Amino acid sequence: MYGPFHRLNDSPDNVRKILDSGEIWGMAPRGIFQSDIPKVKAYDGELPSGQTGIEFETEVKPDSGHVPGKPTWSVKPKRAGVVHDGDCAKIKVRVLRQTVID
Amino acid sequence: MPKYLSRTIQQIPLEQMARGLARPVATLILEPAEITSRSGLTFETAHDDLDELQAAVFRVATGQEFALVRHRHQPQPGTDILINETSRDLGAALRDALQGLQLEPRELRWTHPKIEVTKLKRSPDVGNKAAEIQKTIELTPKSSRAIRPAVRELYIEQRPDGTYAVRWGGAQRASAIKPTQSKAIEWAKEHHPDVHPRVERVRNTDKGGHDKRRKGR
Repeated sequence: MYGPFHRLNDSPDNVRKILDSGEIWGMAPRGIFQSDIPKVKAYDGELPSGQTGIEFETEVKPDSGHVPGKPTWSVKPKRAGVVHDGDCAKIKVRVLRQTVID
Repeated sequence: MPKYLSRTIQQIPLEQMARGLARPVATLILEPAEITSRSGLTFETAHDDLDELQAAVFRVATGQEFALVRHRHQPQPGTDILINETSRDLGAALRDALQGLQLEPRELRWTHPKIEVTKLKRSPDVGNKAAEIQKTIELTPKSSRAIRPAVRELYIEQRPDGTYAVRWGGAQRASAIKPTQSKAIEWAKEHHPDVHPRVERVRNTDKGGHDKRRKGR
Protein backbone atom coordinates (compact mmCIF):
# COMPACT_ATOMS: atom_id res chain seq x y z
CA MET A 1 0.00 0.00 0.00
CA TYR A 2 1.27 3.52 -0.82
CA GLY A 3 0.36 6.53 1.25
CA PRO A 4 -0.98 8.27 3.11
CA PHE A 5 -1.65 11.04 0.59
CA HIS A 6 -4.02 13.98 0.73
CA ARG A 7 -5.80 16.51 -1.48
CA LEU A 8 -7.20 19.92 -0.56
CA ASN A 9 -9.28 21.09 -3.48
CA ASP A 10 -12.07 18.52 -3.86
CA SER A 11 -15.63 19.80 -3.74
CA PRO A 12 -18.22 18.12 -1.47
CA ASP A 13 -19.72 16.48 -4.59
CA ASN A 14 -16.33 15.10 -5.59
CA VAL A 15 -15.71 13.73 -2.11
CA ARG A 16 -19.11 11.99 -2.12
CA LYS A 17 -18.22 10.37 -5.47
CA ILE A 18 -14.82 9.30 -4.12
CA LEU A 19 -16.41 7.76 -1.03
CA ASP A 20 -19.08 5.98 -3.11
CA SER A 21 -16.74 4.64 -5.79
CA GLY A 22 -13.49 4.14 -3.94
CA GLU A 23 -11.79 5.93 -6.83
CA ILE A 24 -10.05 9.28 -7.14
CA TRP A 25 -10.16 11.04 -10.49
CA GLY A 26 -7.80 13.43 -12.13
CA MET A 27 -8.99 15.52 -15.03
CA ALA A 28 -6.78 16.74 -17.84
CA PRO A 29 -6.48 20.41 -16.89
CA ARG A 30 -8.68 22.89 -18.73
CA GLY A 31 -7.98 26.57 -19.16
CA ILE A 32 -4.47 26.89 -17.83
CA PHE A 33 -2.04 23.95 -17.84
CA GLN A 34 -4.01 22.28 -20.61
CA SER A 35 -2.80 18.76 -21.16
CA ASP A 36 -3.70 15.67 -23.13
CA ILE A 37 -2.46 13.45 -20.31
CA PRO A 38 -4.92 13.20 -17.43
CA LYS A 39 -3.33 12.56 -14.06
CA VAL A 40 -4.38 12.19 -10.47
CA LYS A 41 -2.48 14.62 -8.23
CA ALA A 42 -1.99 14.57 -4.48
CA TYR A 43 0.28 15.71 -1.70
CA ASP A 44 2.37 13.26 0.28
CA GLY A 45 1.49 12.65 3.90
CA GLU A 46 -1.47 12.87 6.19
CA LEU A 47 -4.10 15.57 5.84
CA PRO A 48 -2.76 18.40 8.02
CA SER A 49 -4.88 19.15 11.05
CA GLY A 50 -7.26 22.02 10.50
CA GLN A 51 -7.23 21.59 6.70
CA THR A 52 -10.30 20.75 4.64
CA GLY A 53 -9.57 17.82 2.37
CA ILE A 54 -9.34 14.10 1.92
CA GLU A 55 -6.67 11.60 3.03
CA PHE A 56 -6.21 8.27 1.25
CA GLU A 57 -3.92 5.36 0.46
CA THR A 58 -3.69 3.25 -2.66
CA GLU A 59 -2.15 0.08 -4.02
CA VAL A 60 -1.08 1.92 -7.17
CA LYS A 61 2.48 3.16 -7.15
CA PRO A 62 2.88 6.87 -7.97
CA ASP A 63 4.58 7.88 -11.24
CA SER A 64 8.33 7.58 -11.19
CA GLY A 65 10.10 10.92 -11.35
CA HIS A 66 7.34 12.96 -9.75
CA VAL A 67 8.13 16.13 -7.81
CA PRO A 68 9.04 15.16 -4.21
CA GLY A 69 5.98 15.65 -2.01
CA LYS A 70 3.60 15.86 -4.98
CA PRO A 71 2.91 12.35 -6.34
CA THR A 72 0.96 11.85 -9.55
CA TRP A 73 -0.67 8.92 -11.33
CA SER A 74 -0.66 9.56 -15.10
CA VAL A 75 -2.42 7.58 -17.82
CA LYS A 76 0.74 7.78 -19.97
CA PRO A 77 2.72 5.61 -20.08
CA LYS A 78 -0.10 3.11 -19.75
CA ARG A 79 0.17 0.88 -16.69
CA ALA A 80 -1.91 -1.32 -14.46
CA GLY A 81 -3.97 0.45 -11.84
CA VAL A 82 -4.28 3.79 -13.60
CA VAL A 83 -7.46 3.77 -15.66
CA HIS A 84 -7.92 6.17 -18.58
CA ASP A 85 -11.65 6.91 -18.75
CA GLY A 86 -12.53 9.63 -21.26
CA ASP A 87 -10.61 12.68 -20.13
CA CYS A 88 -10.05 11.30 -16.62
CA ALA A 89 -7.37 9.29 -14.86
CA LYS A 90 -8.71 7.06 -12.10
CA ILE A 91 -7.06 5.05 -9.35
CA LYS A 92 -8.59 2.87 -6.68
CA VAL A 93 -8.07 4.28 -3.20
CA ARG A 94 -8.99 3.67 0.39
CA VAL A 95 -10.16 6.87 2.04
CA LEU A 96 -8.61 7.20 5.49
CA ARG A 97 -10.16 10.52 6.50
CA GLN A 98 -12.01 13.44 5.02
CA THR A 99 -13.07 16.81 6.43
CA VAL A 100 -15.01 18.15 3.45
CA ILE A 101 -18.48 16.79 4.24
CA ASP A 102 -20.18 15.87 7.50
CA MET B 1 -0.33 40.50 -24.21
CA PRO B 2 3.19 39.11 -23.78
CA LYS B 3 5.65 41.32 -21.92
CA TYR B 4 9.38 41.54 -22.57
CA LEU B 5 11.03 41.54 -19.16
CA SER B 6 14.64 41.36 -20.17
CA ARG B 7 16.70 40.42 -23.15
CA THR B 8 16.29 36.72 -22.36
CA ILE B 9 12.66 36.13 -21.38
CA GLN B 10 9.18 37.28 -22.29
CA GLN B 11 6.26 36.77 -19.89
CA ILE B 12 3.11 35.10 -21.22
CA PRO B 13 -0.25 35.53 -19.43
CA LEU B 14 -1.54 32.24 -17.98
CA GLU B 15 -4.59 32.22 -20.24
CA GLN B 16 -2.29 32.32 -23.28
CA MET B 17 0.04 29.53 -22.22
CA ALA B 18 0.74 26.74 -24.69
CA ARG B 19 -1.15 23.46 -24.41
CA GLY B 20 0.87 20.65 -22.85
CA LEU B 21 2.96 22.86 -20.59
CA ALA B 22 2.44 20.48 -17.70
CA ARG B 23 5.52 18.33 -17.10
CA PRO B 24 7.57 19.18 -13.99
CA VAL B 25 11.28 18.61 -14.51
CA ALA B 26 12.89 20.48 -11.64
CA THR B 27 12.25 22.49 -8.50
CA LEU B 28 14.06 25.75 -7.84
CA ILE B 29 15.16 26.57 -4.30
CA LEU B 30 13.60 30.00 -4.86
CA GLU B 31 10.08 31.00 -3.86
CA PRO B 32 7.93 33.03 -6.30
CA ALA B 33 8.71 36.34 -4.58
CA GLU B 34 12.44 35.75 -4.97
CA ILE B 35 12.00 34.85 -8.64
CA THR B 36 9.99 38.02 -9.15
CA SER B 37 12.70 40.17 -7.59
CA ARG B 38 15.41 38.56 -9.69
CA SER B 39 13.69 38.16 -13.05
CA GLY B 40 10.74 40.57 -13.01
CA LEU B 41 8.28 37.73 -13.70
CA THR B 42 4.88 38.31 -12.14
CA PHE B 43 3.08 35.33 -10.57
CA GLU B 44 -0.68 34.91 -10.95
CA THR B 45 -2.93 32.97 -8.59
CA ALA B 46 -4.90 30.07 -10.06
CA HIS B 47 -6.20 26.60 -9.13
CA ASP B 48 -5.73 23.10 -10.42
CA ASP B 49 -7.42 19.99 -9.04
CA LEU B 50 -4.81 19.68 -6.30
CA ASP B 51 -4.73 23.11 -4.69
CA GLU B 52 -4.42 26.85 -5.11
CA LEU B 53 -1.22 27.79 -6.88
CA GLN B 54 0.96 30.66 -7.98
CA ALA B 55 2.21 30.44 -11.55
CA ALA B 56 4.12 32.38 -14.17
CA VAL B 57 4.75 31.45 -17.79
CA PHE B 58 7.63 32.74 -19.88
CA ARG B 59 9.14 32.28 -23.32
CA VAL B 60 12.86 32.19 -23.97
CA ALA B 61 14.79 33.32 -27.04
CA THR B 62 14.52 29.86 -28.64
CA GLY B 63 10.71 30.19 -28.59
CA GLN B 64 10.15 27.51 -25.97
CA GLU B 65 7.70 28.23 -23.18
CA PHE B 66 8.08 27.25 -19.54
CA ALA B 67 5.89 27.50 -16.47
CA LEU B 68 6.89 28.15 -12.87
CA VAL B 69 4.43 26.75 -10.35
CA ARG B 70 4.21 26.84 -6.57
CA HIS B 71 1.27 25.04 -4.94
CA ARG B 72 0.10 26.82 -1.83
CA HIS B 73 0.29 23.86 0.57
CA GLN B 74 3.09 21.83 -0.99
CA PRO B 75 5.17 20.18 1.73
CA GLN B 76 8.54 21.12 0.23
CA PRO B 77 9.72 24.68 -0.38
CA GLY B 78 10.59 25.96 -3.83
CA THR B 79 9.03 26.51 -7.23
CA ASP B 80 8.58 23.86 -9.92
CA ILE B 81 9.73 24.34 -13.51
CA LEU B 82 7.32 22.80 -16.04
CA ILE B 83 8.14 22.03 -19.65
CA ASN B 84 5.98 20.85 -22.52
CA GLU B 85 4.88 17.23 -22.34
CA THR B 86 6.05 16.74 -25.92
CA SER B 87 9.66 17.69 -25.11
CA ARG B 88 11.99 14.73 -25.69
CA ASP B 89 15.18 16.14 -24.21
CA LEU B 90 14.29 17.10 -20.66
CA GLY B 91 17.83 18.24 -19.88
CA ALA B 92 18.07 20.55 -22.87
CA ALA B 93 14.70 22.09 -22.05
CA LEU B 94 15.68 22.68 -18.44
CA ARG B 95 18.98 24.18 -19.50
CA ASP B 96 17.15 26.63 -21.77
CA ALA B 97 14.78 27.56 -18.93
CA LEU B 98 17.64 28.20 -16.51
CA GLN B 99 19.50 30.19 -19.12
CA GLY B 100 16.42 32.32 -19.75
CA LEU B 101 16.01 32.97 -16.04
CA GLN B 102 19.77 33.48 -15.68
CA LEU B 103 19.85 30.93 -12.88
CA GLU B 104 22.43 28.26 -12.15
CA PRO B 105 21.97 24.48 -11.71
CA ARG B 106 23.01 24.89 -8.08
CA GLU B 107 19.79 26.83 -7.54
CA LEU B 108 17.77 23.66 -8.13
CA ARG B 109 16.68 21.56 -5.19
CA TRP B 110 15.32 18.68 -7.29
CA THR B 111 15.64 17.52 -10.88
CA HIS B 112 13.82 14.79 -12.77
CA PRO B 113 15.81 11.53 -12.57
CA LYS B 114 16.23 11.47 -16.37
CA ILE B 115 18.22 14.72 -16.24
CA GLU B 116 21.96 14.73 -15.72
CA VAL B 117 22.68 17.85 -13.69
CA THR B 118 26.28 17.96 -14.89
CA LYS B 119 25.00 18.49 -18.44
CA LEU B 120 22.98 21.56 -17.50
CA LYS B 121 25.93 23.89 -17.87
CA ARG B 122 25.49 26.34 -20.69
CA SER B 123 27.28 25.29 -23.87
CA PRO B 124 28.75 27.87 -26.28
CA ASP B 125 26.54 26.54 -29.08
CA VAL B 126 23.40 27.11 -27.05
CA GLY B 127 24.54 30.62 -26.22
CA ASN B 128 25.28 31.42 -29.83
CA LYS B 129 21.95 30.04 -30.99
CA ALA B 130 20.09 32.03 -28.37
CA ALA B 131 22.01 35.15 -29.36
CA GLU B 132 21.08 34.65 -33.01
CA ILE B 133 17.41 34.21 -32.18
CA GLN B 134 17.53 37.16 -29.82
CA LYS B 135 18.92 39.28 -32.64
CA THR B 136 15.97 38.22 -34.79
CA ILE B 137 13.59 39.27 -32.04
CA GLU B 138 15.34 42.61 -31.73
CA LEU B 139 14.93 43.19 -35.48
CA THR B 140 11.16 42.69 -35.16
CA PRO B 141 9.44 46.09 -35.45
CA LYS B 142 8.82 47.46 -31.99
CA SER B 143 5.23 48.24 -32.93
CA SER B 144 4.52 44.49 -32.94
CA ARG B 145 5.94 43.97 -29.48
CA ALA B 146 4.76 45.01 -26.06
CA ILE B 147 7.85 46.46 -24.46
CA ARG B 148 8.19 46.75 -20.74
CA PRO B 149 11.24 48.53 -19.37
CA ALA B 150 13.92 46.13 -18.20
CA VAL B 151 13.68 45.68 -14.47
CA ARG B 152 17.18 44.33 -14.08
CA GLU B 153 20.33 46.32 -13.77
CA LEU B 154 23.73 45.66 -15.21
CA TYR B 155 26.69 46.20 -12.91
CA ILE B 156 30.35 46.71 -13.66
CA GLU B 157 32.49 45.83 -10.68
CA GLN B 158 36.18 45.44 -10.00
CA ARG B 159 37.24 41.89 -9.12
CA PRO B 160 39.90 41.00 -6.55
CA ASP B 161 42.38 40.28 -9.34
CA GLY B 162 41.95 43.78 -10.77
CA THR B 163 39.83 42.79 -13.76
CA TYR B 164 36.27 44.02 -14.25
CA ALA B 165 33.11 41.93 -14.28
CA VAL B 166 29.90 42.81 -16.12
CA ARG B 167 27.10 41.19 -14.14
CA TRP B 168 23.30 41.37 -14.07
CA GLY B 169 21.83 42.24 -10.70
CA GLY B 170 21.09 39.02 -8.81
CA ALA B 171 23.28 36.90 -11.10
CA GLN B 172 26.01 34.85 -9.49
CA ARG B 173 28.20 34.67 -12.57
CA ALA B 174 29.58 37.48 -14.67
CA SER B 175 28.33 37.93 -18.22
CA ALA B 176 31.80 39.13 -19.20
CA ILE B 177 35.17 39.81 -17.60
CA LYS B 178 37.39 42.53 -19.07
CA PRO B 179 40.88 43.71 -18.18
CA THR B 180 39.88 47.36 -17.70
CA GLN B 181 36.82 49.28 -16.60
CA SER B 182 36.59 51.08 -19.94
CA LYS B 183 36.69 47.74 -21.80
CA ALA B 184 33.90 46.45 -19.55
CA ILE B 185 31.78 49.55 -20.21
CA GLU B 186 32.48 49.21 -23.92
CA TRP B 187 31.39 45.55 -23.84
CA ALA B 188 28.21 46.40 -21.92
CA LYS B 189 27.29 49.18 -24.35
CA GLU B 190 27.95 46.94 -27.34
CA HIS B 191 25.94 43.97 -26.05
CA HIS B 192 23.23 45.82 -24.14
CA PRO B 193 22.92 49.22 -25.83
CA ASP B 194 19.57 50.00 -24.19
CA VAL B 195 20.84 49.43 -20.65
CA HIS B 196 22.83 51.97 -18.67
CA PRO B 197 25.31 49.95 -16.60
CA ARG B 198 25.90 50.83 -12.98
CA VAL B 199 29.64 51.31 -12.62
CA GLU B 200 31.39 50.74 -9.30
CA ARG B 201 33.65 53.57 -8.23
CA VAL B 202 37.17 52.27 -7.91
CA ARG B 203 38.61 55.43 -6.42
CA ASN B 204 37.50 57.02 -3.18
CA THR B 205 36.61 60.65 -3.89
CA ASP B 206 34.63 63.31 -2.10
CA LYS B 207 31.61 62.10 -4.12
CA GLY B 208 31.56 58.56 -2.77
CA GLY B 209 33.45 55.31 -2.20
CA HIS B 210 33.37 51.89 -3.82
CA ASP B 211 29.78 51.21 -2.88
CA LYS B 212 28.57 54.36 -4.64
CA ARG B 213 27.88 53.59 -8.28
CA ARG B 214 27.66 55.97 -11.19
CA LYS B 215 25.82 55.52 -14.47
CA GLY B 216 27.90 54.36 -17.41
CA ARG B 217 28.46 57.04 -20.00
